[in-house]
Parts: sequence; structure tokens; C-alpha cells
Amino acid sequence: MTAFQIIIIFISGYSIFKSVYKLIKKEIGWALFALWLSVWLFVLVINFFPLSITWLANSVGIGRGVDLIVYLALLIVFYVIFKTHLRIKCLEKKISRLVSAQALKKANEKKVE
Amino acid sequence: MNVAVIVPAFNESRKIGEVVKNLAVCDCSIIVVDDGSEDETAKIAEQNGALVLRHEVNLGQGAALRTGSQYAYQNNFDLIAHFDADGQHSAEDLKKMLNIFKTDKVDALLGSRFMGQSFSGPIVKKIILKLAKIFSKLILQLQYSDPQNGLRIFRANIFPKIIWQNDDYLHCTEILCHLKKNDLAVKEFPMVVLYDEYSSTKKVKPKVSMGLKIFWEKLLNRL
Repeated sequence: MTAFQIIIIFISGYSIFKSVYKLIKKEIGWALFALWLSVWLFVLVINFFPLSITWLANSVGIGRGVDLIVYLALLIVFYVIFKTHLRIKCLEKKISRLVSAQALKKANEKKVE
Repeated sequence: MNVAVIVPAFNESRKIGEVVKNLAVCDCSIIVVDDGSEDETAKIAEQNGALVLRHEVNLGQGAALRTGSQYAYQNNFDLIAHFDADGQHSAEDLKKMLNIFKTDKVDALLGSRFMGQSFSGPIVKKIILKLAKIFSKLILQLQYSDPQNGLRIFRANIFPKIIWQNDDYLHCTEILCHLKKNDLAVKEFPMVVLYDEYSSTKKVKPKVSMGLKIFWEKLLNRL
């Protein structure tokens, strides 16, 4: 086993441990936990069986395993950016509504006084 | 008629007092929406007789106008006017525009810098505004001569039909789209924008990037 593989085991183990901890503390839901767990288990499988990713890549028509990982990583990053963008837009809208409602409430209270 | 003039203001302490004082000629209620200013905008506006609504954080001109208009609508005003806080709009123009509502059956009256009168502003701004006009005509089929003009008056009863969602400068275009969609009676009024040293130091608005945003919003069918 190479040093790199050992590092990956530690990182994956720590990440799975953190996910379980956050699930117990109810900081994340089951869906997010399942997603994280599958990501890190996938990393561990590739770590122990590096050739499996080449087989997987070939089966979907991609030449090298590394390429498949890069494509998947890019897809995930784009998806996360898109979701984050939507979440920010949604939050902006909520803040806008809240600030406006607060301004109107204060103005109406002032009028009553 | 019961008129509310909404003045959205963000860090306008240098001008807001003068603007509020000048608006006294219109015989209307002046509602300044302080959009999270860090200076004394709210205090000065209040000292000069305006009712001040305050946003705790800066949201943008569109949001400030929406809050002010919402207040005017809830408080049964007949007309709602939008007026800039940086001294670029003339209270005399507003007065003339308000008089039109006494005689004409219009739902909204929009100020325009391009109805034959001379334009005294920076040439860059003129080019951007002309491009915005062409863009609005081509993409949104809006036939107005100055789609980015901030001086406008509309009857309060149409507010629910035209309520805009954009917090930034895109609200100008969005309002026009709502007016068109609802087939409301709209007229334009030739007005003059007063460009002075103070207003020239401020950022050029609207920005070219707004064109891209309009295009995007149109693609998503939000306009």
C-alpha cells in the first residue's frame, strides 16, 4: 500500500466519522448523510481497487479512469455552484421581504403613536 | 388628489434635504425610503418634513421603491410618484405631471429625456440609454422613449398589477413590462434631468451589464 492510499483512507475515514457525528447531532438529514457516505465509500473503493475506475470508465466510453473522475468532479462542482446560487437568490428574496416588512411595520407603529 | 412621492435614498445626505424642500411645491406627502444608508440621510430627510421608512440593510433602488409604494398603497393614497434623491429630477416637472392626472384618464405617466428636448448629461450615459431603448424595443417590444427613466407617476389602484420583484435597477424595465402586459393607459412626459457635479461623480447607471440581465430574465420568461 502506498503513502497516498494511506492518506486517502484517513481522509475518507475522518469524513465518514464526521458525517455520522453530524447525523447523530441532527445537523444534517438522512439524504445528505447518504450522499456523503456514498461519495466517501466510492473514494475508498477506488483507493483499494484503482483498476476498478478504469473498468468503469471504459464501460461508459471514457478512455482513462482519471478522466472519468475529473468529469464527475466537474459535474458535481457545477451542480453545487448552481444549487448554492439558487439558495443565495432565495435567501436574498427572503431578506428583502423581511427588511421591507420591518420598515413598513415601524412606519405604521410611528403613525399610531 | 392624495399624492405620495416616494424618494429612495442611499447615502444621499448631501442632497436629500434640498430634494425634500423642493418637493414642497407639489403639495404631496413625501416618503423617503432610506435604503440602509450609513450617513445622516434619514435624519436630514425627517428634519425637512419627510416621512422616513428605513431599510436596515441596503437592498437596492427597486426594493426601496417597492417598500415606499407598498406603504402608499396600504395608506390609501390616490397617486404614487417615484422621484430620485440625488437632485436630478425637478419638482416642477413632477408638478406638471401631477396636473395631467387631473385632466387625462391615464394609469401611469412616465418621464422621458428623449422627446425632443436637449440632453445635458454625459455622452457615455446618453449612448447607454439609447442602447437600452433599442434593446428594450427589440427584446421586450417596449415602445417607450426612455425605459430607464426613474421619474414616474401611477394610480395607486394599479400597484398590485405592476408590483415588481427586482430589487436593483432592473425594476424600471420590469414596471414597463407589467404596464404593457396589463394593457394600462400609459403616457410619456418630456422632462429634463439635471446633471450636476454631484450626480456626475456617482456611478453611471444603468450599467451595460443590465442589458445582459434583461436578456436573461426574458429568456426565463420573468419579464
